[in-house]
Amino acid sequence: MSSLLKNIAQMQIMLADMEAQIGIRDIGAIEKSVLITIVDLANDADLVHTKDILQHPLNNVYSRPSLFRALKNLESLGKIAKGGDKRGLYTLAGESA
Amino acid sequence: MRLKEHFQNFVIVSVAYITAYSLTLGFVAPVQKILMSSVAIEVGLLFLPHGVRVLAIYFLGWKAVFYLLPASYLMMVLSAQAGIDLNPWLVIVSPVACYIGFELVARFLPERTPPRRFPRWQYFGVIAFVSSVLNSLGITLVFKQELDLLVATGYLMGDMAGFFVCFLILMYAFRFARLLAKASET
Repeated sequence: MSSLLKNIAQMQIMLADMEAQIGIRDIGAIEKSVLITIVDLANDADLVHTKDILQHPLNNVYSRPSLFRALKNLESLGKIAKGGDKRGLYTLAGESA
Repeated sequence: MRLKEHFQNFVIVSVAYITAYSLTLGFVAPVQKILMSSVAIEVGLLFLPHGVRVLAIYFLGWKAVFYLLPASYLMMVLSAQAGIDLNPWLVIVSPVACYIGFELVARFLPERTPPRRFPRWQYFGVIAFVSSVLNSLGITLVFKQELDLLVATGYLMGDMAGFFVCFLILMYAFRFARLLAKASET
């Protein structure tokens, strides 16, 4: 790979990281769907179970791996966070809450 | 490094520097003149080229000092036309101060601690800050031969604000390019 391409790639990753930290990074359609699901489910309980997110009518068009990836992305973007003592529980984080 | 690559880097750095400087000279400086007439016009309160210098030095190392020189001299001549009298030594002092700042930060604050493999913008901020301190010291010495803390602080503020705005402009440029690409796909 040419050094120019490498530098541009590095700069783009750095700027994407900056966007995420500022909170203006675009989220994909699946991420949006999962986030809406969590907002919806969080009305009933503070902590939302992964199983409920996967079974939500809004998400049944997506594959399980895509939904898990979306959960991971949302977590790394700081939109959601793991909560509770058990595994697979999520809560809205920061300004999303 | 091949000659073609040198030329490519030189063109990119020069275009970026000239664009940033033109924005500063044509837009920021007149606004500053109107809003803060008490601040000397030589002390740019939003000096965008500092961001370009930091990026160039980070990605291209010491060679960036030489890539920056022609554009810096060109902009110095244009600044003189616009009534901003700059010392010719500044053109050399600023990139060199930036490079020394980068080397100091790289030596005492190595960035790439695993598992992170890419630079963070805050790291550039540290480089920009240290470079700017050295730049302020250099510029103040060149201009006055004695350290004027107020003027040095003005340079520091201008460089840091310029660095941040430069990164914001870049971020939105990449964002816009992404949106355009997405729009053309659909």
